[in-house]
Amino acid sequence: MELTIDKLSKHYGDSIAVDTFSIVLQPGIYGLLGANGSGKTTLMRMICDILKSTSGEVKYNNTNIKKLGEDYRDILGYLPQHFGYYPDFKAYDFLMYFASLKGLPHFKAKEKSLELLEIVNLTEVKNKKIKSFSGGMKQRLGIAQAMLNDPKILILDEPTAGLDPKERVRFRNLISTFGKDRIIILSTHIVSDVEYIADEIIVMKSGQLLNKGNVTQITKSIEGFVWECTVPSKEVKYLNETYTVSNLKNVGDQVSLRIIADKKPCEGAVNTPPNLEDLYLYYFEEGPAL
Amino acid sequence: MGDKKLIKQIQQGNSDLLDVLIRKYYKDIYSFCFRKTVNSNIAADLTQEVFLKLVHYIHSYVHDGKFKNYLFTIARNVCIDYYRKNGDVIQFSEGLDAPANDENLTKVEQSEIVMQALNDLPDIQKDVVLLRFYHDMKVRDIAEITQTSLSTTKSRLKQGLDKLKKIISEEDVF
Amino acid sequence: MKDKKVKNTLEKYRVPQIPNSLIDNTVGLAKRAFERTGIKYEMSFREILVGQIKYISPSLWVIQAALLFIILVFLLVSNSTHNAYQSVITTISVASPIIALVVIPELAKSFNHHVWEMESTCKFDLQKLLAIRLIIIGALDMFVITIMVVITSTFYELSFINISLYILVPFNMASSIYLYILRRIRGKAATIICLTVGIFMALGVGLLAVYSELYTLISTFIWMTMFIFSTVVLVYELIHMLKSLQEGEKLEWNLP
Repeated sequence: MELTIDKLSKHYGDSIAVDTFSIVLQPGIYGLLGANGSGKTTLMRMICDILKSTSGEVKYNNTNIKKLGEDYRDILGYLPQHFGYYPDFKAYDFLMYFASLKGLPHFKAKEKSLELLEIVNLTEVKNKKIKSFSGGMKQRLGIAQAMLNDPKILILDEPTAGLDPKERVRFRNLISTFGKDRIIILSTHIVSDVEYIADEIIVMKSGQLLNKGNVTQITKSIEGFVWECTVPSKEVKYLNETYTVSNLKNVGDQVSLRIIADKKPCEGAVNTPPNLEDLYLYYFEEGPAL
Repeated sequence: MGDKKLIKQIQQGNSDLLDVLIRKYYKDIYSFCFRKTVNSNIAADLTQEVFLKLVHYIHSYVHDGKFKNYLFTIARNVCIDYYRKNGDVIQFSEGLDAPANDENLTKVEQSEIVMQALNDLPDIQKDVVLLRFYHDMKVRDIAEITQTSLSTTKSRLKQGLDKLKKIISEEDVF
Repeated sequence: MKDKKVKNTLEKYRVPQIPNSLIDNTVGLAKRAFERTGIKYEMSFREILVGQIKYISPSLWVIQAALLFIILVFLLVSNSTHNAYQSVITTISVASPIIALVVIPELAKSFNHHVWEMESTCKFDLQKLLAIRLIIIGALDMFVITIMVVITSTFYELSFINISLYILVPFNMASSIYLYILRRIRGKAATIICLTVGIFMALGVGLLAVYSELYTLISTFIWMTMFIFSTVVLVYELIHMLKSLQEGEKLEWNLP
């Protein structure tokens, strides 16, 4: 199983949302990392074939997904960033409705809907109107919807938005157990969502593929740019204005800083191994933080 | 629930109804296989094979007419395959044991005579007679199962019966 | 020897009892084998269609039923007015664009509630879904129109064909305009524009019908021509609407 994204571009008038993006995906969990407006959603929509690309193509096992049509959609699960529901729908109706559109026979639809409601912890409210749900509950229902047809390709656009910390943990567990023999792409701008569950991180900026690899591989690219130093508190203001500070904690009357900088930011600063958070800040913090 | 609905739900993935469907027809298929092989162990094996074949084909089964016909078609083919592999030798596994009093003795004797008489029929006639008399099937359905024309089936039935009558009337236990 | 006798004789040949454990064993094996097979069940078109009926908003049935009731009241009351003929013509003329109008929110709901993105990625995509909704809604409209035609032609001296034409021509024209608007504009704005246009259209046709002589002056032949023309336009619009659903581009542009 292989999903090939081949020089995919999307232009809106003069602006370029996705710029000749190429990548080959094998089964695994991929974390698509990028700031807001970096083209993640546009890319995902094109992978789902709901948005036409300006150029380039998406291929599943070497066949263009447009040609596969229904057969491709049959193995696809998608959670859009913003999604709605019909006002008269209850949670169970919502899943049964999508199960019917996904071509699940009635018996299977019932079985699968109830199973997923249990997995996303909504069994108790299955007969409540979605209107009355909290953001996190709606999001969990959306995730369940995407998984109804046991998709081989699961695409989740900001799946953890609106989830509380406990729900985030549950979500991570769910995805890592679901992940076998599937291609799962989840976009986020929260590093901790993908740091431990993604097999590979894809970093996207201004519509382009910036970097990809597992956490160790991609953090290597900024080795030597992360510094730790302990300074008197009066110097913090200056450092904070000049450099990107990824962490800051008080140690007695001194302050310990973690700084991302090309050159040694201050006297006594020592290099430290970078983590994914540092990488994200390195790529997406434009200039020094204010 | 009718067969049509049962199968539709099974095709949708409901395995509990597969249970119901198998139990509904188990004895029917088993007795057919038994009378074909005259060995309860082999008959049980063949019956199992019939239902496993059914599971294998059930997703592509299209309901057009009687499910029973479909199932017996499988059963008949399974039996034919069995004989093709094992030769046309009937292995008697057991006597039809019963307590030895006079009345029972007669019953056992009668049963064995019928069994013998049936086994003396050529397979094509035996199948028709089995389906007609033990499974209460219409000649039209038998023709469908044995994949022959209505007239051929009718004549096979008649020939089979004539032979049976002859054999049986030679015995005086009836 | 009679067949009956043969049957009785044959029945003496009994099959030994089979232990239940063997049956259970077979059932167990079969179930396990079954669970390994993938489901290949393909829903028939009829199943898909019937399956979607329950997902049509309940409000649509209620509104359509209420509308039909009001129309029937008007039609029956017309009998006692001094100019029954004019009253009937006005009622059916005003009613037809409204009948076409009440189904618009149903067609636009995927966009109004932002469900279209998920629907588009399902096996039966947005195009098929909307086609199915159109069939259900179309059948409902035809049902309402048939009742109107039957009632009117029973109680008034109007021919079946003429009434059908008086209803269907404005119905087709109104539907085409609504579909055009939906195709061009998406989101909640489209529904509001349709509502406004629909009400004006109903008023316009209503005013026209006050001069009900016009309806009879125009020959049936011309009505027939208008009917054919409006049907062609409607079919054209339907095809275009369904086609436009595949153009993710346009769906995207017009949405927040």
